Amino acid sequence: MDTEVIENSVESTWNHRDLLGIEELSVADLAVVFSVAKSFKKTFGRRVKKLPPLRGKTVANLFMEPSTRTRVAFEMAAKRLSADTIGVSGDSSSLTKGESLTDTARNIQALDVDLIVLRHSSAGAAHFLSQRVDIPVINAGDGAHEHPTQGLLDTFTMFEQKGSLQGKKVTILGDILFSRVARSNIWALQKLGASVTVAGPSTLVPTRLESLGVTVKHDLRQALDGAEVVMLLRIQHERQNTALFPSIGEYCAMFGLNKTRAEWIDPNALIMHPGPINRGVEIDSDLADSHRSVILDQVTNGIAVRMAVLYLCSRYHDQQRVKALSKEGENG
Amino acid sequence: MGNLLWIKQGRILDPHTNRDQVGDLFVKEDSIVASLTDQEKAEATILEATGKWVLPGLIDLQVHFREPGQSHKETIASGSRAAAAGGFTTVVNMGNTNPSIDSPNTVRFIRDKIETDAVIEIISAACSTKDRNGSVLAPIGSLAKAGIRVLADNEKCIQDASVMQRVAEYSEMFDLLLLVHCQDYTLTGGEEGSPMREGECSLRLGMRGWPRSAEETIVARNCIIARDTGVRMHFQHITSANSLEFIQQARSQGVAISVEVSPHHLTLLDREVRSFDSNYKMNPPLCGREDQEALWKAIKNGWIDAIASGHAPHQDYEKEVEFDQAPYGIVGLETLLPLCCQAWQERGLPLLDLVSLLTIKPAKVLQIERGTLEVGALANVIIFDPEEKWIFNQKNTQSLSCNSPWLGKEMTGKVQTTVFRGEVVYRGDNF
Repeated sequence: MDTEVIENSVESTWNHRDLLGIEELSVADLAVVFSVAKSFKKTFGRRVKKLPPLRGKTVANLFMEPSTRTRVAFEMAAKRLSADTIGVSGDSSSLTKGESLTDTARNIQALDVDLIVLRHSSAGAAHFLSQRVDIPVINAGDGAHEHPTQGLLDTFTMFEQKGSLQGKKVTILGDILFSRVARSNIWALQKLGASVTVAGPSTLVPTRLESLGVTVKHDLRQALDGAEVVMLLRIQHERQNTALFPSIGEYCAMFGLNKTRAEWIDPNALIMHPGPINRGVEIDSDLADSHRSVILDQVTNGIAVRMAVLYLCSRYHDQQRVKALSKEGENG
Repeated sequence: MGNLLWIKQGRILDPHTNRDQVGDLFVKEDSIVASLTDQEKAEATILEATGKWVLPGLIDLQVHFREPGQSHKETIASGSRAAAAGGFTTVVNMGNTNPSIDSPNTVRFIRDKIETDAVIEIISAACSTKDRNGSVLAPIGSLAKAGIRVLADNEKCIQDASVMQRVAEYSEMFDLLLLVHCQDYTLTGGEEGSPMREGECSLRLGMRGWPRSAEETIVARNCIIARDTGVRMHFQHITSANSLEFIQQARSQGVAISVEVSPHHLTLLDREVRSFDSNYKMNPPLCGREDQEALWKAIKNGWIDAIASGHAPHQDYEKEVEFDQAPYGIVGLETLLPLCCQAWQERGLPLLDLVSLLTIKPAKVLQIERGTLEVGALANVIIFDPEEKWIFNQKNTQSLSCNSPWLGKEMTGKVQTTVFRGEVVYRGDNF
């Protein structure tokens, strides 16, 4: 996708009430999000940061699984758009009292909330919820399925830095099998024409992942060779008891990104990480802070992209409601 | 004067006698008879069957009627009515109730319940290990003495091979049939299993996959145990091509084993899970196309002994949760015959083969004299209209639950009448 497409795209082509995953989005949808995010980003650093589009609306952040970065970014994005926000987290909600997700969501809707942001440990939770409420649902991560706003902010960052991603090699390194970030990025990158390589130990990056249209490499040098973007994913220490690889030490020795290995990467390649980083595990501390690293740009772009998503879904939903009302009016 | 039925001009399909012809069928008291006298004919109840099929009452080797303990999902009464409405006159009810059917007392409870509440024949399976724990043998001898002929730890799988070996050896002493569910827990993320089959679809959805190897390793182990012990073993709901190969290989060496498949594994694929609708969550999970084709090939080769519904009722509020948190299983008694007929037609397979998988073949697995319309047989008969179109929904089901992927969908073919031991126990919608 080139710059022109993005510049020419208009938000009126967006026709999704919910953002559940990237797999079901079109290239044009990605272009709209990037274009709107770009406009919002231009307002960053202003003395008065708030913009009016969601004034009078309430966004519920329903976080059934621990999250800091994503939760804060969504809250900030909603507030920048002048929405009121309420936060509900798994450990403080009625879900611990046995209330089902359906009932929690219906109750939240009954509180006259306008939009739900959901983080949940079950794949498909956001799809499930969207079928049971009639307000927009934004997926903030569902199990190992998708984390669409992360995929959008990552590819937006790449797009900002690299322009078109057509034909460019992007390597994702680490725990792919259990990663929703990997999945959302794979779909976004494929739509944008990039060629995706995934790498890591075969227990986290099994060859059968090739059925998703990516190249699987278990040799780090081959994986990094010619890559213009290297995205590192967090190695989840907590999974270590299931023995997916022998030890963190062996992981570092085989797949950790250190200075020597960084030499294999194109000097202009970007180093990315969705966070939180395990310094010294996936990546050497210096590299995480090097000029090639865009890890903090990802965080900033996370606000712009989420503002775009909240704005687009809310706008579309309002338009649909107006249409429905005027139709009702016509029918007497 | 006893009960007399004259079933007129139906297409009689009886695989046991290789019969497929239009004609009349006569029932006197609880048996099929060659004919009735003129006077008996005058007194007989006439069931018009022109354009309809007349089949032996169907047999289902795996249903869950949930009583005792979960009678909000299903009871012996409701389950047996659902069975009758689906054309089943004999079902094997699993003992994964609460308490489990694992002692002579629970066997007696369930037998009394069946006697008072059931409208068809229900054969109770009891557990082979105490509370299906997979480690301590249930009082198998006492269970046999209390009338149990079939053992199953349904949905649980004995992990310890030495326990399985002992269960097999011990059951063989009483000539019991062992129904086995094959699942290596270590490959399915534990006893609870994984929400869906491992494959491209599970990778896409980011769901933990249930690999077919989890079934195959236990199938291979159990084939060996069956061979060494001589126990009669029946493999429940098989879903993998390799499992079928192992079973067939053992069989060719004379091992006394049999195998069933489920209608949903024959007709639905794992990709349905993309809807995140928990009515597509079953144990074992829906497989991919390659394995599904292998199931069909096995049917064509005559390797399969039965199609079993696995009828597993759950209330909608129990199923209407996040996919990975939903209970496994779907109801299936009332949709099995129309779905299978349709699938058979689509694949151009002989109708008598389908009927045999639902009648005489499962009867042979159970070693009971059922599943035929030959003269002298017990009068378990159904009349099926292969053309009737109807919608399967909450209103017309006899079950207490309606957790089914076919809920609200149009079915072609409906059971008109079910006769059990010469008595009409189900008639159209006027039950």
